[in-house]
Amino acid sequence: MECLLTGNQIKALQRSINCLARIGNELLIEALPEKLILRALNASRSAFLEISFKARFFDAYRVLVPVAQCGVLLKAVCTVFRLPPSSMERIAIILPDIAATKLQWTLECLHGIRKTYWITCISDPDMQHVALERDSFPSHLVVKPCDLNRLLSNFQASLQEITLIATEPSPMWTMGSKSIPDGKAVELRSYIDPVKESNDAALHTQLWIDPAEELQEYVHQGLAVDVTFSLKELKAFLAFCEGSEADMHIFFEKAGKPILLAPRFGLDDSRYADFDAVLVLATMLGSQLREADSEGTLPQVGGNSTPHSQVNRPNVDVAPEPQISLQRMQRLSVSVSRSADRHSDQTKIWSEVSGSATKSWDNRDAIRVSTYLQDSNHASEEILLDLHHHQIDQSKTINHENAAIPHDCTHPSSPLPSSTMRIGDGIPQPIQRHGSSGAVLDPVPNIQVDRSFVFIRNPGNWVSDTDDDDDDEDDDSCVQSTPPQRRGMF
Amino acid sequence: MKFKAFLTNHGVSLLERRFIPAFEKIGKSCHLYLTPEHVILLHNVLNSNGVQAVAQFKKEALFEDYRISSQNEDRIAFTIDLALFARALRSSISMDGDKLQVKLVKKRAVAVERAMPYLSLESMGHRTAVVQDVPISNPLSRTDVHELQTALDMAQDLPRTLVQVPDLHLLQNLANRLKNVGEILEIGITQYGDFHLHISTSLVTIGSEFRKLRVLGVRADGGVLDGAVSASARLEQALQRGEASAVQVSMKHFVKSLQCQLTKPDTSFYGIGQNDSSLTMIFQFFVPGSRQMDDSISLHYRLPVLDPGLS
Repeated sequence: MECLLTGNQIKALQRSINCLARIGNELLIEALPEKLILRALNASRSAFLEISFKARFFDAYRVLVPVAQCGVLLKAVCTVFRLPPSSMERIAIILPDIAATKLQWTLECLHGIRKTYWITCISDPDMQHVALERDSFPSHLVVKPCDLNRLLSNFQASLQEITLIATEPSPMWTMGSKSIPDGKAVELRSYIDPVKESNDAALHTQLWIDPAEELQEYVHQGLAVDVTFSLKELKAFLAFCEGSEADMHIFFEKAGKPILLAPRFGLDDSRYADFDAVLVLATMLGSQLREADSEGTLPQVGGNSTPHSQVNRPNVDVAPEPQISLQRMQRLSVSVSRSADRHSDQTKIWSEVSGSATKSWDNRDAIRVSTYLQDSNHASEEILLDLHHHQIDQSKTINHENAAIPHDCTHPSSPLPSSTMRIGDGIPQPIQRHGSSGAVLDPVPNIQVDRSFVFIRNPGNWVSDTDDDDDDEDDDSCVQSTPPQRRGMF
Repeated sequence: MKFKAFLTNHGVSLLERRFIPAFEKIGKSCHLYLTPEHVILLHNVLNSNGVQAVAQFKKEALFEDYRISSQNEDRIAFTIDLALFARALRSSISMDGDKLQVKLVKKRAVAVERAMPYLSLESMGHRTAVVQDVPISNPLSRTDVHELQTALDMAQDLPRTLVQVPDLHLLQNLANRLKNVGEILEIGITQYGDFHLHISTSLVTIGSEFRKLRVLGVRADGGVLDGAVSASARLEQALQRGEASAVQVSMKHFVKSLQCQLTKPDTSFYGIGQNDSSLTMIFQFFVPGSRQMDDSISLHYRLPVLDPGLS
């Protein structure tokens, strides 16, 4: 195999190598007559990056065998690219034969300087390949790298995993004479790993995005889904897309299924580009939205568990070569089974800005949508902070709510309970809409909708107006955080 | 215990661009003390180990619609990580929303059993909305708050004589040069407006003297001074006459305290506490666009004094 690059191709190759180096330790090279493929797989096998260059990308490209493969350490390749690309005039990459033990890199630099590197090939490279059809993903979005960088700057720099929550964007809808615009259908949320001890010092961030304003394209239908994945690899790929002046296309399905990221060139994905890239990231099995759903499917985490059982099998077309299938990609967190057992307030809170009023909900969730009524006079979302640091007594809080709540939200396996709201006089009353389950709900009374979005509220997080937080110092009920639907409403 | 308020644009600017960066230079986290009338940032008030810094704001300077209630005379205090607080403020500003709401909340993160307190910042913009929950310590108990208030009251004692330092940048440049010489800095302040900085090692002695500075408080007439007398001799004479005070402070503390200029004060006064107990720095801020002092903001630093026997 022999290939020759000059000019901007060197920058593109350097950018690719830098991105691959942030993913894995080994560079797996596969040279086909029509293209050159570079691959990297991270140590935990949760991130796989493949960058392919078509033959026309190079000034000269020659492969004398049907396929030539080798593997080298990325650290060694990065050493080759230590110089700035502007000082390199030409690069030649030569693999003399299939059995060659060294890969030759020849750099012709400015002022007639020639540098030649012989990088030892890995004796038995583990050639991996992941074949995922982009069309197999039901949801996708396209975002400009600079916009995504700006959004990610809201998160703590040391954040390791992030959750993307996608809901179906609502069309414009009217209430009376008002036209109410779509809600912010996409949410990014910082994921707090429960096994880490530094959680007490972690910034919790929830960011809602209006896809019409911030995204180039957004397609999602049906139920809300969430995917939690590593931020480190995302940022590496983001830098790659930004340098390539391409938007980033993210394909996803649901929690537990891998996500696929690819650069998007112009109006057409990659038809006219002479290189392409695909990053496949494993996602956490446990859904932040529906812990009850994921409980039954969570496998035991352990050293003896087969990789086959650890990841939901995607509907992929597996290449015939020795490859990893997605079954071998491990989950990001080993504590998913633990997290699924615990009840969390935050996971049950749903964004008020998701515009989810017109969505059809799965009957299993038993989610009832209510319309928020601004009622600052009776707002009691203030939080009791028990000076004696007692635990939140959820049962006490729930008992203050209307008895119509059918579910015990303290039970970890219970689906999201129905929500209630208070009207005017502060007395909690259930207000329900016609849900997808077909149940006839009480008609909505004459209310004034102050906000353009609707929400689902978890009563477990709600503080009733009737609670008097100053009465009893020994009161155990530690009021929980304000649901998002009540935040910023004053 | 409740706290909820809306940060004004001026408040956000004061905190995010001036005071939090300055306080971050002193320590990673500090106390945030909320009372019905004031919001106070405090460093090292409960201990005397490092640079003590107190920034006090009237609630109107930072917030509007300020609501606070607690069983401890409506006072709440806790420690907060300044870097996270600054990041949360910065991201909330970028939402370009109408209001930035700050609220004390307690919630349980994913798969964590116990609920933790957070300072929640919420901002709703047209394109995006954000909620930032900054982790804070458990609120201080009644006893701890009382102790904090007592320490704060004691820190309000002013030195008898204060001199106005003309230029903090100049002082910082000087300190940056002196810090390479030694670790102990001797500071002398006279009642007729001289400000001495002096560092001495076995091999070299170096110092600077600022003369005829503006004096507040107890002042004295320096008399006719012999021009041939050196600065250190002048200071010695003033000390003997009881018209000056001199203390030794850690060079590291002094350099750290000069980061106060990030708060962009309009005037700075230095003084030595009674019984040579501390070196006090008091900063004044003017109402923007005028020379009128802004009473809603006050800032002072206090450096612990070294025992002369150690030098």
